[in-house]
Amino acid sequence: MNKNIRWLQYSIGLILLIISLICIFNYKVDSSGVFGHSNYLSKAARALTSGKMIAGLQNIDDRLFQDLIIKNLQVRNDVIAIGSSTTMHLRKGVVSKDRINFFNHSVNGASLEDYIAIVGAYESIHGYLPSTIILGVDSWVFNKNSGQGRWVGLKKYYDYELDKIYGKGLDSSSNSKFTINAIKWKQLINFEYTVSNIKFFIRTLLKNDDINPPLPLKESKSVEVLTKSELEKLSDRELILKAINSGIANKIEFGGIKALDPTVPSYEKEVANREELIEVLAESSVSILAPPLMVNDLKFYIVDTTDTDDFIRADDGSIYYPNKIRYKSNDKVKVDAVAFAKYNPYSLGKYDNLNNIKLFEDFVRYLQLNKVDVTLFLPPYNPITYDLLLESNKYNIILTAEKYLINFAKLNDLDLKGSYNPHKYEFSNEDFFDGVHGRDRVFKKIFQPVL
Amino acid sequence: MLFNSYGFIFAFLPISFFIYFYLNHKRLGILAKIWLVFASLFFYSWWNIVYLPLILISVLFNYLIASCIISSIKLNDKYFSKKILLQIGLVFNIGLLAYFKYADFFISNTNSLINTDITLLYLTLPLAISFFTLQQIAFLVDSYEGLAKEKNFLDYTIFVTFFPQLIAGPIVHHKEMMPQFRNIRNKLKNYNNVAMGLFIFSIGLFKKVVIADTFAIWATSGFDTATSLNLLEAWFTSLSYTFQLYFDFSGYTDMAIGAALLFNIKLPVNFNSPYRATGIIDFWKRWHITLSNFITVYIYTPLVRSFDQLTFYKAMIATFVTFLIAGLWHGSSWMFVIFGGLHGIALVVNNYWKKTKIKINKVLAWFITFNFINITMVFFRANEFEDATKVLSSMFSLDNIMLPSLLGRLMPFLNNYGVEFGQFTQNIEGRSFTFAFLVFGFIMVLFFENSTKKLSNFKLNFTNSFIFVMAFSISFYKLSGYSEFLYFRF
Repeated sequence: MNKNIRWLQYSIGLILLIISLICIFNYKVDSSGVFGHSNYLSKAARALTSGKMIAGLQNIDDRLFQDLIIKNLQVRNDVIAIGSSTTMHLRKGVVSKDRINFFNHSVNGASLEDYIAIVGAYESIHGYLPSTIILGVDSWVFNKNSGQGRWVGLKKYYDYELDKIYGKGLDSSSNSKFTINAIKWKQLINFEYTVSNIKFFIRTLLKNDDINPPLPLKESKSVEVLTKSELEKLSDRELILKAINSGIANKIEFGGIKALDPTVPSYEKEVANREELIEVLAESSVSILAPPLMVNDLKFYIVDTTDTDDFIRADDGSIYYPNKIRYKSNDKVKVDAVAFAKYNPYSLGKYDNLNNIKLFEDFVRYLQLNKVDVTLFLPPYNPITYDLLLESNKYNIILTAEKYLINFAKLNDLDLKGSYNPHKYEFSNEDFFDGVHGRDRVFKKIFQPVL
Repeated sequence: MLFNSYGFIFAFLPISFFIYFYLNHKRLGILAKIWLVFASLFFYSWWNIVYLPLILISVLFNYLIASCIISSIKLNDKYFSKKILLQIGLVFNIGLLAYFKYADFFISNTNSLINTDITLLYLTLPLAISFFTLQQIAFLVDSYEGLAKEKNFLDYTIFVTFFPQLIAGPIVHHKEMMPQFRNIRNKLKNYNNVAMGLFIFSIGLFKKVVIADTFAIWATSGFDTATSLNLLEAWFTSLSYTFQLYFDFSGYTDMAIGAALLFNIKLPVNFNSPYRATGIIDFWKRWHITLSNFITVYIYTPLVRSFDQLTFYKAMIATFVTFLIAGLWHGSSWMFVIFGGLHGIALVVNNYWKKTKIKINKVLAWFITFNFINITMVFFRANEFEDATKVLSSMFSLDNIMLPSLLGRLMPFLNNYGVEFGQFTQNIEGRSFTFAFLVFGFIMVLFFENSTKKLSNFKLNFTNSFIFVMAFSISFYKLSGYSEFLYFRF
């Protein structure tokens, strides 16, 4: 055979082999559940919608996850919230003290298209609209240069809802189905997705190591009951985890220098009443959940307490940050707030005037026509960030956006809560995680004003 | 259609290749040529079919003018001489370029100069117009001077539209292309050329999608997004663009050379390690070589010839004017004129220096040359003068030094001199590997064998197979995003 042809055959064959192996790797690992192969996102969505709190679910495709959540809803939601990460801390208890069914569908970097698509998902999958929709409208939602294009993951619902808003004529469902499928299968050969899968794979492997033992309450059905002598062999860390898993976390007494340090996760602290705790554990006939057997099940886990150092999603869709962010020092928050305003005003670049106004108004009016109460929520900035942003005329558009929303709410009889301006609510740096993400007290103050 | 797209690599290129050689194999040579023209026009129209008539009219008009010039025996009367035909051809080509490329530039400058309010035309620049116009101007001049003859319209159309070189060069000459298309041996598949073509194509693809597109992140953030830059960010921004432009354009050229080789056509060399240049004259002998040759032959030489008596002083004026024109050729912006002007001045200085015959240390010569190129690239990249001054003033200001936090622990005393420590590349979206990547860029351009050399020394061995496989496989995974070549806009 010609030497040239042989060289070409070997080289091209090797290329095909490498590409195929990477495709198989991406399909199998599927860290964002794009192919529904690992199905872990579906499992997480089912856990969440059946009232469980989950931890460890990070770097996922937000849109896909919301799609799965809506598909798996087991109750009819009365109130939903849609916004960006700045709305993710809005919780059921804050929205209403009554027994309502509430779910927070906020996604990272939400744009107007996301609001429309998520509402569209409710209509197309369940055939109803929630009676109240809270829209977390960030100042950059009306910026055509915000760079937010992640909503395409929900394009089929967006197209569906556009048809609803404007009537037929915009029928692009077959088109969008093709686009969505193309986007999906392109992930097999996507560099970023490959990198994300490699990281995910390594993280999953490490979670099995002794250095990084499994966290509490993994999703698993198998049970074990430990005897007193077996419990005595366990380390403090393991004992604490067992106690938390058994629902007797209140029996643990912490000691040592880390006892009162809120930045240290409870399972890394010292147990002061070790003997007593072993007695209680041994006596309790509570079945203790065993560590999971399957590696894939480590991708998320169910927790029954927010006292877990991980990214947590509550059963109402709201989130809790890991301790590193949750217990960030005020000085660090200040640094982040300044950096946000000075270097990285999220999605505020090239924002000269308000765009997408018509679509926004038509969407809200469509909801009102369908008897949906719409609440506009304006997430406040950290006061340090806000003042720095407004120091430069460049970001005065924030004021324009707020003025527009206030007028629009007035004219259309909409409930408007919050303000980009934190001074209106006398918020301080301590009320924030960084430049834009408010702590729980921010939401409490805005949604339940003290009379 | 982009070279760095799945459609081109997995559909367009193999289909055009196999059908072309199948038709040749069946001894349907004319059909094979028609197929190649059709494929090239399809390739061109993929972006915007609106401009297809424009390129067809341009090809047809230039062919007719050239045919008339060639058969000028019958056209000896004074109103329709060879010279007049050439002038008509030049006016048509330059007029086309001026209208589509410079109309709005001219209007906006007129508006601000004499306070008028003429509405801008907002014309979209037809893809490849700068390149196919230059190529056809060269053909007309060559025809006028009796250096080129083309009677076959199909061959002429292939010469202009052959897709590997259509969009952004290399700028080819009729005399170097057509003998290759006519060579009977080139009508058969040549697996050695296929191997070399795929090899060099993969290297070009890697240069573009892995190296240039990575530098593009920092260059774009520094020039377009950041409102202010610290000293290191400014240098990283300018160096990133300097490397981005080289890897992007030379990557494109490698891909063009590789794609053409599949069809047994050898395109001219366009880059020869330009950042190793030790003088500006040297630089322009290594950078965009086919453009340098064009401006030398078709702009500089006629200018020089137009002087009654050539002196060094006059030659330098011609050099400066030539580079102003070359700068403006890149686009309708004063930034390109400044870029061309600066290079014109540097060439004059370099020529004077050569005249003095004073020797300079090679490393120092390289250092001066590279920094001059890097600084002038700031004008080349900046959209506005303000963007250029933002980057340049930060590059040379000692008031805004921020170093990595790590150094803060080692050299805390620097705080006393106003040096800050922290996230030193935040404004340009710098990553932990930004500095290492710049060092890698330097190593690549200074110490690695360039792709032209790699191609001329090509052997069917394991090393080259490994380079081909790795370059292609890694690039394949980076193809997902849309990323145009920088020279498409020129």
